[in-house]
Amino acid sequence: MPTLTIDGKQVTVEAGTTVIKAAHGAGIDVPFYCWHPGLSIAGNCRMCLVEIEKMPKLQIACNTVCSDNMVVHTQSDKVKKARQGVQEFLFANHPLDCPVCDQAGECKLQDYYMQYDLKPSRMVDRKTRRVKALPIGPYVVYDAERCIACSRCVRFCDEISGSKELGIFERGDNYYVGLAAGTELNNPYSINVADICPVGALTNRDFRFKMRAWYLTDHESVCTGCSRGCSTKLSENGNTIYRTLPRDNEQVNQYWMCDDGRFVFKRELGPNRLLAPSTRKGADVRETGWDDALDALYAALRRTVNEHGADAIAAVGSNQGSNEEIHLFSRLFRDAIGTRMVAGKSDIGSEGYQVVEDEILIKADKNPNTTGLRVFGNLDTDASALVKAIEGGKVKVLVVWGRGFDRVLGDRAPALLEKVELVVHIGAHEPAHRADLVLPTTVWAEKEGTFTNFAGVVQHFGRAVRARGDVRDEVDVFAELLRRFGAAAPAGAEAAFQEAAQKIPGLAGLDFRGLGETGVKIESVPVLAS
Amino acid sequence: MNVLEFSEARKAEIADLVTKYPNKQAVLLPALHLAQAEFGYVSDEVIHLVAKTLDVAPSLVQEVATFYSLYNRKPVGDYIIQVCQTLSCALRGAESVIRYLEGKLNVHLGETTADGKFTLVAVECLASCGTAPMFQVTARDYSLNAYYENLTEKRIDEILDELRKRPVRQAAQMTPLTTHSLGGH
Amino acid sequence: MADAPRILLDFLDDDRSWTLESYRKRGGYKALEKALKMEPVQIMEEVKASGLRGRGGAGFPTGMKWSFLAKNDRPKYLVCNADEGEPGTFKDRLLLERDPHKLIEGMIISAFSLGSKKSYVYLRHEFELGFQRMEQAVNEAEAAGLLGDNILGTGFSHHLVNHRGAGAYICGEETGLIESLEGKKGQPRNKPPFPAIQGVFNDPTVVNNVESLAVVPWLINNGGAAYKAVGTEKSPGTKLFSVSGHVKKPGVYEVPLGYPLMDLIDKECGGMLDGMSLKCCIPGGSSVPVLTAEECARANLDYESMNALGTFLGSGGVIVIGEGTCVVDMLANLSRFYAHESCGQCTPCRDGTNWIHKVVDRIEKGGGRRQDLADLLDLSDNIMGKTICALGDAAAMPVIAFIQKYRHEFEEHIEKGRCPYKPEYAVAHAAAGR
Repeated sequence: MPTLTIDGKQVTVEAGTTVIKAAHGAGIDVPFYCWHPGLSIAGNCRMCLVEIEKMPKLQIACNTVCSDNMVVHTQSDKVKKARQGVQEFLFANHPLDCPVCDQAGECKLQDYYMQYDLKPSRMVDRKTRRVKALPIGPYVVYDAERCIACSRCVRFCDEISGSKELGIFERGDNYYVGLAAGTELNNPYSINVADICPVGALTNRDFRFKMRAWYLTDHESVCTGCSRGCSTKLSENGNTIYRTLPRDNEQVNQYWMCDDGRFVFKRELGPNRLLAPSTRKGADVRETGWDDALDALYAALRRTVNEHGADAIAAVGSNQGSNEEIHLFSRLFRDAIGTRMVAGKSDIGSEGYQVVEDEILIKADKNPNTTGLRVFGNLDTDASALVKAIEGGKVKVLVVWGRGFDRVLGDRAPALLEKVELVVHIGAHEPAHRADLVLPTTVWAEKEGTFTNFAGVVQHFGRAVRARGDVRDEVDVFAELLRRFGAAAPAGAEAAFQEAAQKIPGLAGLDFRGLGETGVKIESVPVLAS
Repeated sequence: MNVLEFSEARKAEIADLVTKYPNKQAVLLPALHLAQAEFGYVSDEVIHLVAKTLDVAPSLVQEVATFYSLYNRKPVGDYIIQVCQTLSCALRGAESVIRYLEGKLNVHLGETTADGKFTLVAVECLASCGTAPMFQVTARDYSLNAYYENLTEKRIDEILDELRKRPVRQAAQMTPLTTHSLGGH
Repeated sequence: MADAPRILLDFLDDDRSWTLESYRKRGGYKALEKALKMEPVQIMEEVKASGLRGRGGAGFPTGMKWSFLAKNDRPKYLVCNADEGEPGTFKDRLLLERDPHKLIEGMIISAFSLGSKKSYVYLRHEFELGFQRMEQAVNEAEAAGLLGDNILGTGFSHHLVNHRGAGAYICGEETGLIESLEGKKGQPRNKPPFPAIQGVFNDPTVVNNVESLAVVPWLINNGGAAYKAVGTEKSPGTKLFSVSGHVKKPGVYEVPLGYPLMDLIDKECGGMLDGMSLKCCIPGGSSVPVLTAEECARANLDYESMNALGTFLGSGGVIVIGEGTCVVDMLANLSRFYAHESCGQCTPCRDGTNWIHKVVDRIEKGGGRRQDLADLLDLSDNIMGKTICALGDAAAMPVIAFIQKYRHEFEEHIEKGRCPYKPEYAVAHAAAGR
């Protein structure tokens, strides 16, 4: 545990810590381009040069390991001049095309110019011209003039995606990032190179020219594309989401996310949204108010219990739902109504995904909360018993939450559902099957909640956009129904979470507001018999 | 993409080289020279062939093929005349040698003569400063790779005459691809 | 230099000096026999005692470099740097072409001391003749039981591989060389780790220059102390100097360190070309600061004397320049060289060398501005000491020295808007070929 001094501040760090990490840990800004905590050290940008006493030359903070009694200066005149020099060199051949550059507003060149340079360039000779706006893969476009050869993208493809498509070709000032002939940047993680490009050389084709960065607000979120649950942020302006970016989370996704996950918001927020509660008879759709809809549902459930017993009601849960929703769903059907015909999993499948599973981040389970279903709902059951009951004509009312059940039933849906008197659909999207009563709900980006990923990490996600139409959060829907059954019900996601944390063994001590930005891992995820 | 194969002799040469190193990648530079000798230049197809032969990424092979100045990424003449232009040679008349060759061959630096015999380039220091001015001549098939030193116009004439008479093995024909290549210039 | 020992250039009278037969006649491989009976550490002690400093250019004590080699179970590599490319330097090429066995013997002895079973000689590809001679010499040595398995029946085995580059000055930098040897771009590594700990194939490695290794047999035959007795106190031994430029007899000369620069020019090289007087001299390869004629008169060829004059002994590449030569033209030539040879990895070198070349070339062609000289000095300062390897310094030092010592010539170019020298003295215009 060496103790060193950085800008007069005493810092004690783990053995092996680099100066740049020690400085950042102490709240001291050391600028950098090529360094990235998730990649090997290249040491090529020279922006992190610092002065270390007893060393004749400035040292790069990213490749210097802290030692005891080291005295580091990050703000000396020598250091400032070196930074200014690096900035000026990087600008020597860099186009001043910020007005048409997508990176503007979140560009390290711009930021550091304001912090460390602020001088007009002395370069009067012709700048080196290079290729601009070259698509190098389905999702990424390259501008060679903006490239500063930091090699982050090359290292990402070598070390993280393992796909090794990119190289820096030629030498000296003729360099450019390129691909071998006949290949393209088309790995499942390709957009990460646009994220980690510190300048506007690599940009995301899907996001390109859609919105200036400074108009965007980032909302903390979690990817619902698979059971990894990558920490993300959703960039929003005017109630519209423009892109998904990964957030750093060492215990879940490090610094990355897959390309498929970037576009989940389009699928979820996109077409086929339900906008108002309705009753349906064939093609005849009648919009109704929420109170009427909930009253009608309650009445049907009550009557069915009374006339046929609780098991005549079947309910299909959703591992796309949040922990809080699952908890209340379970309470409603298991405890308040008392039916045994409750299915947990109603998976969304991997249709439409580029990759089913890999060794990096992507999990085969394309649902964000299968673990939550088990832990928060004790719903480790699949739909087989329930389908059997429907086949036997024992189910009078079927409540389907989410759209996973469509996949479970498949082609059999019309014939099977004929045997059920009332089919209720609770969800955000138009169901594929018959539904007599439809209760429209929000998707994750429109509400707050938590998910439990495959490894038992409980993460909080926030609301990025307001829902359109007369839709409600599932937590409210299930709570309203609970109250109609005479049970107490928490108001809102936070209260629902706290209630679950108190009631369920293994979750004691979990706090909705205490999950932080990266979540809390449940020490032992209870494994229940299925 | 055309499928290229090394000749059996080249394959054996590469296999022998591999035994001298702890891994295959270390043979990349020598293998590219062998490929260039066989196919005339390092085309896109050659890059993929070498990558496959040594189990490395094509992007890595292209990095190496474009970093070093002796790999030709475009077809060249039978003989590449490489005139040293760095300081010591410049002090002793490198520029005159270049001008003389440009006139004599009717090409500019970087160009190949109409008959495909000579490609003329200027290069940096060849460690022959004491015998300046000088050039190196490399045959496309590497059958010749020699320094010519203490050059005079008369000596240059003699060398060109000798080279004109000397045959060079034709390289395997290849069709250039349309690619992602960006080019620095 | 009749009184100084011929440690390296003892082969000049033999027209088949590269053969084993010739080398044997000169006492070749006697040192190997002797060394294989010594303790490996004793060999290192002799090298340390000799005071031999690395002859590639940096001048780091060779014995000390060996002593840093990691002591662990990993394989150890000895790598010979035969990528000679520093403009003005051509001594290693001479050794490779004319006396390859001396290098090979030096390498086997060094490898024995270092506990290395495998060595690589990294030759620049342009050295076709040197490569052929080295291959032939390796074959001869193997056939004679001097190299390969169970050398001279001692149980020590060592294999030597000649490895060829592909055209890149930067591979003369030892970690660039290592990367290149591994089959990558020759881009220098950040240090630490140093090659002695993590070198080629991530194993402990010693990289030595051809000339340094070729000295080793003499050190074993004659002892480190005998070497130390030659030259000066702090710069012992002889050194090869490659002399080029405006002298009557350019070539490679072996003189004891401390030898006066003007004696090298006037005695060994027969003086300046007819009708020319000395203008200046770059004493240690193109990367070191230039010396004016007046400074040359006071200069001795050893590490300390050169440092006292603000320059370096470097690789011993002595470029002699006569009056009538345009220094701006020369700097334009050199700055083109460094821009062309920058590996492109780190910012100050990649962008700085290119920028400097543009400015110097513009001044030479008549487009200079008053502000340019201050800018050039400042840009050079922004490169110096801030790059991954020494190429940045190598590119910056000539700029600083030329402007400091010949500012009036730069100013004359700027004021007149043209190069005031006669076109027949032009050196840099060949730049069009880049």
